[in-house]
Amino acid sequence: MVSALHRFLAAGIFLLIAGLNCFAQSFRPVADVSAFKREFAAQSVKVRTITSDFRQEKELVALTEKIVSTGKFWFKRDNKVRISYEKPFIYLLVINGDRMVVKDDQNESKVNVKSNKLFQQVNQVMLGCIQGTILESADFTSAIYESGTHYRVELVPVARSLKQFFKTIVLIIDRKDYTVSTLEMNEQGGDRTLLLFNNKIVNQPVNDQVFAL
Amino acid sequence: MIRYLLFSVLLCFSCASQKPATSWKTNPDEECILRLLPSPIRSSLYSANVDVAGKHLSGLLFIKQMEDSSSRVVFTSQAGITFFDLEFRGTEEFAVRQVIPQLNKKPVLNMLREDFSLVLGLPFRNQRFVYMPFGNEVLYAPEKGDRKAFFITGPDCRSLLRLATGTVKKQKVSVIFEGNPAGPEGIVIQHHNFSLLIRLNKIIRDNAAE
Repeated sequence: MVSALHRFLAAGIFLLIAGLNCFAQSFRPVADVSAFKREFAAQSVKVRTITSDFRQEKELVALTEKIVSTGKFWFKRDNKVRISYEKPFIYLLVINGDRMVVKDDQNESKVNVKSNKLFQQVNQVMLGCIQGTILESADFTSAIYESGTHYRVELVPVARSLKQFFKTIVLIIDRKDYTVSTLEMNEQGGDRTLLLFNNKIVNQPVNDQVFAL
Repeated sequence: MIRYLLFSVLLCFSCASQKPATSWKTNPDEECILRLLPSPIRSSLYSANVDVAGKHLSGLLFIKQMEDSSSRVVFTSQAGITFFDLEFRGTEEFAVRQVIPQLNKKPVLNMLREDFSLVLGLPFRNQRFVYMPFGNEVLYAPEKGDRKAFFITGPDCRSLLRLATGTVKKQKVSVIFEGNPAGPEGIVIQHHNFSLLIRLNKIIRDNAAE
């Protein structure tokens, strides 16, 4: 009977420790949001370039299907982004200031982002997430959480045109360099797109030619 | 008597010089139908290129047969935004599960419904057919209904040439499959009364990566 009690207590202690460990990995609200925002902005400015691989997972919830694509990502301050989808389809998006080029397997389109309000907003969201200015945007309300290794920023769009598409946008930010590890876009209809950045190299020289339109 | 004879001869010549009578016939070649009747497309992912009135749009199109035997057609951008999600249950039931405001217009949704009903072969499910030889083709239409949707084969029934809606002489929309119609490598949807062309190319997904 004593032996059974010891085993019961040992199991309980084990579960408690495991639970505490889980709690340490999970996110809790940031105590000083202003301090985080200041630090985020200050650290983001130090990031001049990012080169990275990415994996995108588009979840079609009602169909219980996931569409996975991979490719490469480049960023250079200010306002230069290149996203090159490589598998299982070819698709290229280059943003250079106010201009954008989209290239699929059949066609290339050049767009002046300023000519379309929605394009402008989506452009600003993408660049804002990467350049660390998104928290200053009036187009979103935000809630910020932290774990031992990351911050989690939950953005809820305020602007009607963005609300039509997105319910929330979630950024997972690496505490060590304040770069975005994961970008999650949750649509109003329930579908979700997850963009995971890996093999990130920060502040490696990137030629402007990468962003030529 | 001679006038009657002359009149009859003139009438026969007149008939002979017109186009062949275009009438639907019963008792089609059942073996041909069995072989070439469009079967439901299995779940497939396509890259989609849409050219409409001089403008180009691309994305991904996912067709899926659901467990309850409904069909879903979902069009998203490459970056993941869902443009529309349509649900089909036979030809009678259609639901728009999701659509962006820019496409949420009745004429657009009606057109998408008609086009993808045809792609999914819905007008031809569980039907008896009539047929009509027309030029170098043979048209098969459901026996019941307005006979404005048909599938078309060559005269020797060797291949499915296309699906179409409209009238026999003036087709409104054509659908051409490249490869096995049950899981085609390519699908072309061509509108004939205005400038709209949709090209779908099958994407082979790496299931291991997913």
